[in-house]
Amino acid sequence: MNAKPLRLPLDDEPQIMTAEQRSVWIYLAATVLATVAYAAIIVPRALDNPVAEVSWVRPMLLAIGGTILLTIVGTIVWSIAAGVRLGLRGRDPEIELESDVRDKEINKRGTTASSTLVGVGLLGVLILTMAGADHFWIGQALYVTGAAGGITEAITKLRLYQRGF
Amino acid sequence: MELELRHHLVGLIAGLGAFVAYWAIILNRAATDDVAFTEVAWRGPLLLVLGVGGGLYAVIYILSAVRNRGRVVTDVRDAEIRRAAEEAGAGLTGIASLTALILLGLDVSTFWVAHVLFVGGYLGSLAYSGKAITAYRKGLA
Repeated sequence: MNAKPLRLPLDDEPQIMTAEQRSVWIYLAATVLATVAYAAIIVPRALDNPVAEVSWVRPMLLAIGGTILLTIVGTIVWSIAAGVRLGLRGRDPEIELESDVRDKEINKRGTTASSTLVGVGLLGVLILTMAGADHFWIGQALYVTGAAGGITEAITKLRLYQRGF
Repeated sequence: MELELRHHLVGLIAGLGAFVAYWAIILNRAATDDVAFTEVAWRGPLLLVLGVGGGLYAVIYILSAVRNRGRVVTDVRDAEIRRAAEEAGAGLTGIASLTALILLGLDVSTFWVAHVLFVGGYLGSLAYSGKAITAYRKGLA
Protein backbone atom coordinates (compact mmCIF):
# COMPACT_ATOMS: atom_id res chain seq x y z
CA MET A 1 0.00 0.00 0.00
CA ASN A 2 1.51 3.27 -1.03
CA ALA A 3 -1.66 5.32 -1.00
CA LYS A 4 -1.31 9.06 -0.51
CA PRO A 5 -2.14 10.19 3.05
CA LEU A 6 -5.70 11.46 3.36
CA ARG A 7 -6.12 15.20 3.73
CA LEU A 8 -8.56 17.65 5.29
CA PRO A 9 -10.92 19.67 3.07
CA LEU A 10 -9.58 22.83 1.49
CA ASP A 11 -11.02 26.13 2.63
CA ASP A 12 -13.29 26.55 -0.38
CA GLU A 13 -14.33 22.93 -0.71
CA PRO A 14 -17.95 22.17 0.21
CA GLN A 15 -18.49 20.78 3.72
CA ILE A 16 -20.26 17.42 3.80
CA MET A 17 -22.95 16.24 6.23
CA THR A 18 -21.88 14.28 9.28
CA ALA A 19 -23.26 10.76 9.65
CA GLU A 20 -25.61 12.07 12.33
CA GLN A 21 -27.14 14.68 10.03
CA ARG A 22 -27.68 11.97 7.42
CA SER A 23 -29.46 9.84 9.99
CA VAL A 24 -31.88 12.71 10.72
CA TRP A 25 -32.79 12.98 7.03
CA ILE A 26 -33.30 9.23 6.75
CA TYR A 27 -35.29 9.13 9.99
CA LEU A 28 -37.62 11.88 8.78
CA ALA A 29 -38.18 10.14 5.45
CA ALA A 30 -38.71 6.76 7.14
CA THR A 31 -41.17 8.15 9.70
CA VAL A 32 -43.27 9.92 7.07
CA LEU A 33 -43.21 6.86 4.82
CA ALA A 34 -44.15 4.44 7.60
CA THR A 35 -46.93 6.70 8.89
CA VAL A 36 -48.47 7.11 5.44
CA ALA A 37 -48.28 3.36 4.80
CA TYR A 38 -49.79 2.63 8.22
CA ALA A 39 -52.62 5.12 7.70
CA ALA A 40 -53.29 3.67 4.25
CA ILE A 41 -53.85 0.26 5.84
CA ILE A 42 -55.72 1.30 8.98
CA VAL A 43 -58.02 4.13 7.87
CA PRO A 44 -60.01 2.03 5.35
CA ARG A 45 -60.25 -0.80 7.91
CA ALA A 46 -61.50 1.56 10.60
CA LEU A 47 -64.08 3.08 8.26
CA ASP A 48 -65.49 -0.32 7.24
CA ASN A 49 -65.55 -2.02 10.65
CA PRO A 50 -66.33 -1.09 14.24
CA VAL A 51 -63.01 0.15 15.69
CA ALA A 52 -62.96 -2.51 18.41
CA GLU A 53 -62.62 -5.18 15.70
CA VAL A 54 -59.88 -3.50 13.65
CA SER A 55 -56.57 -5.36 13.94
CA TRP A 56 -54.06 -2.55 14.11
CA VAL A 57 -51.34 -4.01 16.33
CA ARG A 58 -49.32 -5.85 13.72
CA PRO A 59 -49.34 -2.98 11.18
CA MET A 60 -48.27 -0.53 13.89
CA LEU A 61 -45.44 -2.71 15.16
CA LEU A 62 -44.34 -3.17 11.54
CA ALA A 63 -44.44 0.60 11.01
CA ILE A 64 -42.35 1.26 14.14
CA GLY A 65 -39.91 -1.58 13.46
CA GLY A 66 -39.68 -0.54 9.81
CA THR A 67 -38.85 3.04 10.78
CA ILE A 68 -36.04 1.91 13.08
CA LEU A 69 -34.62 -0.61 10.61
CA LEU A 70 -34.81 1.77 7.66
CA THR A 71 -33.10 4.52 9.66
CA ILE A 72 -30.23 2.28 10.72
CA VAL A 73 -29.68 0.61 7.36
CA GLY A 74 -30.20 3.82 5.38
CA THR A 75 -27.76 5.77 7.54
CA ILE A 76 -25.08 3.10 7.28
CA VAL A 77 -25.43 2.72 3.51
CA TRP A 78 -25.53 6.46 2.85
CA SER A 79 -22.58 7.16 5.16
CA ILE A 80 -20.48 4.45 3.55
CA ALA A 81 -21.28 5.84 0.11
CA ALA A 82 -20.31 9.33 1.27
CA GLY A 83 -17.12 7.98 2.83
CA VAL A 84 -16.11 6.21 -0.36
CA ARG A 85 -16.78 9.35 -2.41
CA LEU A 86 -14.63 11.42 -0.05
CA GLY A 87 -11.87 8.83 -0.10
CA LEU A 88 -11.76 8.92 -3.88
CA ARG A 89 -11.15 12.66 -3.69
CA GLY A 90 -8.35 12.05 -1.22
CA ARG A 91 -10.19 13.49 1.80
CA ASP A 92 -10.34 11.73 5.15
CA PRO A 93 -13.89 10.37 5.65
CA GLU A 94 -13.37 9.51 9.29
CA ILE A 95 -12.80 13.10 10.36
CA GLU A 96 -15.57 14.57 8.24
CA LEU A 97 -18.33 12.04 8.98
CA GLU A 98 -17.67 11.78 12.69
CA SER A 99 -20.14 13.40 15.14
CA ASP A 100 -18.91 16.55 16.83
CA VAL A 101 -19.97 19.06 19.48
CA ARG A 102 -22.34 20.69 17.03
CA ASP A 103 -24.20 17.42 16.45
CA LYS A 104 -24.54 16.95 20.18
CA GLU A 105 -25.92 20.45 20.73
CA ILE A 106 -28.37 20.07 17.83
CA ASN A 107 -29.53 16.74 19.24
CA LYS A 108 -30.35 18.34 22.57
CA ARG A 109 -32.23 21.21 20.96
CA GLY A 110 -34.22 18.74 18.89
CA THR A 111 -35.32 16.88 22.02
CA THR A 112 -36.32 20.16 23.65
CA ALA A 113 -38.39 21.17 20.64
CA SER A 114 -40.52 18.03 20.79
CA SER A 115 -40.74 17.46 24.55
CA THR A 116 -43.72 19.77 25.19
CA LEU A 117 -45.67 18.24 22.32
CA VAL A 118 -44.90 14.71 23.51
CA GLY A 119 -45.78 15.61 27.10
CA VAL A 120 -49.16 17.04 26.12
CA GLY A 121 -49.80 14.05 23.84
CA LEU A 122 -49.07 11.55 26.61
CA LEU A 123 -51.33 13.44 28.98
CA GLY A 124 -54.04 13.16 26.32
CA VAL A 125 -53.44 9.42 26.10
CA LEU A 126 -53.72 9.10 29.89
CA ILE A 127 -57.01 10.99 29.79
CA LEU A 128 -58.23 8.58 27.08
CA THR A 129 -57.44 5.63 29.34
CA MET A 130 -59.30 7.32 32.21
CA ALA A 131 -62.29 7.97 29.98
CA GLY A 132 -62.36 4.25 29.20
CA ALA A 133 -61.78 4.73 25.47
CA ASP A 134 -61.37 1.70 23.22
CA HIS A 135 -57.81 0.35 22.98
CA PHE A 136 -57.85 1.22 19.29
CA TRP A 137 -58.04 4.93 20.07
CA ILE A 138 -55.44 4.73 22.84
CA GLY A 139 -53.06 3.00 20.44
CA GLN A 140 -53.64 5.52 17.65
CA ALA A 141 -53.15 8.45 20.04
CA LEU A 142 -49.85 6.97 21.22
CA TYR A 143 -48.65 6.47 17.66
CA VAL A 144 -49.64 9.96 16.56
CA THR A 145 -47.91 11.46 19.61
CA GLY A 146 -44.71 9.56 18.85
CA ALA A 147 -44.76 10.31 15.12
CA ALA A 148 -45.57 14.01 15.61
CA GLY A 149 -42.80 14.31 18.21
CA GLY A 150 -40.30 12.55 15.96
CA ILE A 151 -41.15 14.69 12.94
CA THR A 152 -40.96 17.92 14.96
CA GLU A 153 -37.61 16.84 16.33
CA ALA A 154 -36.22 15.95 12.91
CA ILE A 155 -37.39 19.18 11.26
CA THR A 156 -35.99 21.27 14.11
CA LYS A 157 -32.62 19.54 13.81
CA LEU A 158 -32.49 19.92 10.04
CA ARG A 159 -33.30 23.62 10.31
CA LEU A 160 -30.48 24.02 12.83
CA TYR A 161 -28.11 22.14 10.54
CA GLN A 162 -29.02 24.32 7.57
CA ARG A 163 -29.35 27.73 9.19
CA GLY A 164 -27.30 27.57 12.35
CA PHE A 165 -28.37 28.38 15.88
CA MET B 1 -31.74 31.00 44.19
CA GLU B 2 -32.44 31.24 40.46
CA LEU B 3 -36.09 31.54 39.49
CA GLU B 4 -35.82 28.58 37.13
CA LEU B 5 -34.32 26.43 39.86
CA ARG B 6 -37.25 27.37 42.06
CA HIS B 7 -39.62 26.20 39.32
CA HIS B 8 -37.79 22.91 39.03
CA LEU B 9 -38.06 22.41 42.79
CA VAL B 10 -41.78 23.24 42.76
CA GLY B 11 -42.24 20.76 39.93
CA LEU B 12 -40.36 18.08 41.83
CA ILE B 13 -42.42 18.59 44.97
CA ALA B 14 -45.78 18.80 43.15
CA GLY B 15 -44.93 15.63 41.21
CA LEU B 16 -43.86 13.75 44.31
CA GLY B 17 -46.98 14.86 46.19
CA ALA B 18 -49.29 13.75 43.36
CA PHE B 19 -47.52 10.42 42.94
CA VAL B 20 -47.56 9.55 46.65
CA ALA B 21 -51.16 10.72 47.12
CA TYR B 22 -52.29 8.61 44.16
CA TRP B 23 -50.70 5.41 45.42
CA ALA B 24 -51.93 6.05 48.94
CA ILE B 25 -55.50 6.23 47.62
CA ILE B 26 -55.12 3.19 45.38
CA LEU B 27 -53.42 0.96 47.96
CA ASN B 28 -56.01 1.97 50.53
CA ARG B 29 -58.82 1.12 48.15
CA ALA B 30 -57.19 -2.17 47.23
CA ALA B 31 -57.01 -3.07 50.91
CA THR B 32 -60.54 -2.04 51.82
CA ASP B 33 -62.64 -2.59 48.67
CA ASP B 34 -62.10 -6.35 48.60
CA VAL B 35 -61.57 -6.59 44.83
CA ALA B 36 -58.62 -7.68 42.68
CA PHE B 37 -55.85 -5.06 42.54
CA THR B 38 -56.46 -4.24 38.86
CA GLU B 39 -60.19 -3.82 39.49
CA VAL B 40 -59.76 -0.93 41.91
CA ALA B 41 -61.51 2.27 40.79
CA TRP B 42 -58.38 4.14 39.68
CA ARG B 43 -59.76 6.56 37.10
CA GLY B 44 -61.12 9.18 39.46
CA PRO B 45 -58.04 9.40 41.69
CA LEU B 46 -55.69 9.61 38.68
CA LEU B 47 -57.66 12.46 37.17
CA LEU B 48 -57.74 14.16 40.57
CA VAL B 49 -53.99 14.03 41.28
CA LEU B 50 -53.08 14.99 37.71
CA GLY B 51 -55.49 17.91 37.86
CA VAL B 52 -54.41 19.10 41.29
CA GLY B 53 -50.67 18.56 40.72
CA GLY B 54 -50.68 20.11 37.26
CA GLY B 55 -52.98 22.94 38.37
CA LEU B 56 -50.80 23.78 41.37
CA TYR B 57 -47.68 23.90 39.24
CA ALA B 58 -49.45 26.02 36.62
CA VAL B 59 -50.75 28.51 39.21
CA ILE B 60 -47.29 28.99 40.74
CA TYR B 61 -45.74 29.30 37.30
CA ILE B 62 -48.28 31.87 36.11
CA LEU B 63 -48.04 33.87 39.35
CA SER B 64 -44.29 34.13 39.04
CA ALA B 65 -44.54 34.98 35.34
CA VAL B 66 -46.97 37.79 36.13
CA ARG B 67 -44.84 39.11 38.98
CA ASN B 68 -41.77 39.19 36.75
CA ARG B 69 -43.43 40.43 33.58
CA GLY B 70 -41.26 42.64 31.43
CA ARG B 71 -38.10 41.48 33.19
CA VAL B 72 -35.53 39.08 31.85
CA VAL B 73 -35.36 36.29 34.43
CA THR B 74 -33.54 33.52 32.55
CA ASP B 75 -30.13 33.39 30.94
CA VAL B 76 -28.11 31.13 28.69
CA ARG B 77 -27.21 28.90 31.60
CA ASP B 78 -30.87 28.30 32.50
CA ALA B 79 -31.65 27.41 28.90
CA GLU B 80 -28.67 25.08 28.66
CA ILE B 81 -29.64 23.29 31.88
CA ARG B 82 -33.25 22.96 30.71
CA ARG B 83 -32.12 21.35 27.48
CA ALA B 84 -29.88 18.86 29.27
CA ALA B 85 -32.71 18.03 31.69
CA GLU B 86 -35.24 17.53 28.92
CA GLU B 87 -32.86 15.16 27.19
CA ALA B 88 -32.45 13.20 30.43
CA GLY B 89 -36.22 12.79 30.84
CA ALA B 90 -37.12 12.10 27.22
CA GLY B 91 -35.55 8.62 27.09
CA LEU B 92 -37.62 7.25 29.96
CA THR B 93 -40.84 8.75 28.63
CA GLY B 94 -40.13 7.20 25.24
CA ILE B 95 -39.58 3.76 26.78
CA ALA B 96 -42.84 4.12 28.73
CA SER B 97 -44.86 4.94 25.58
CA LEU B 98 -43.34 2.03 23.69
CA THR B 99 -44.09 -0.32 26.59
CA ALA B 100 -47.68 0.96 26.69
CA LEU B 101 -48.02 0.27 22.95
CA ILE B 102 -46.74 -3.28 23.41
CA LEU B 103 -49.17 -3.83 26.30
CA LEU B 104 -52.01 -2.60 24.09
CA GLY B 105 -50.86 -5.09 21.47
CA LEU B 106 -50.98 -7.90 24.02
CA ASP B 107 -54.52 -6.76 24.85
CA VAL B 108 -54.00 -6.48 28.61
CA SER B 109 -56.42 -4.39 30.67
CA THR B 110 -56.43 -0.60 30.42
CA PHE B 111 -55.32 -0.51 34.06
CA TRP B 112 -51.81 -1.62 33.12
CA VAL B 113 -51.56 0.64 30.09
CA ALA B 114 -52.52 3.69 32.13
CA HIS B 115 -50.16 2.81 34.98
CA VAL B 116 -47.18 2.17 32.75
CA LEU B 117 -47.76 5.61 31.23
CA PHE B 118 -48.32 7.26 34.60
CA VAL B 119 -45.33 5.70 36.36
CA GLY B 120 -43.10 6.06 33.28
CA GLY B 121 -44.11 9.68 32.87
CA TYR B 122 -43.43 10.32 36.54
CA LEU B 123 -40.00 8.69 36.37
CA GLY B 124 -39.26 10.80 33.30
CA SER B 125 -40.18 13.97 35.20
CA LEU B 126 -38.05 12.78 38.13
CA ALA B 127 -35.05 12.36 35.83
CA TYR B 128 -35.80 15.82 34.41
CA SER B 129 -35.96 17.54 37.81
CA GLY B 130 -33.03 15.56 39.18
CA LYS B 131 -30.79 16.44 36.26
CA ALA B 132 -31.80 20.12 36.41
CA ILE B 133 -31.33 20.49 40.17
CA THR B 134 -27.95 18.72 40.24
CA ALA B 135 -26.87 20.84 37.27
CA TYR B 136 -27.65 24.03 39.24
CA ARG B 137 -25.68 22.73 42.23
CA LYS B 138 -22.75 21.00 40.58
CA GLY B 139 -22.72 22.29 37.02
CA LEU B 140 -23.22 20.45 33.73
CA ALA B 141 -20.61 17.74 33.40
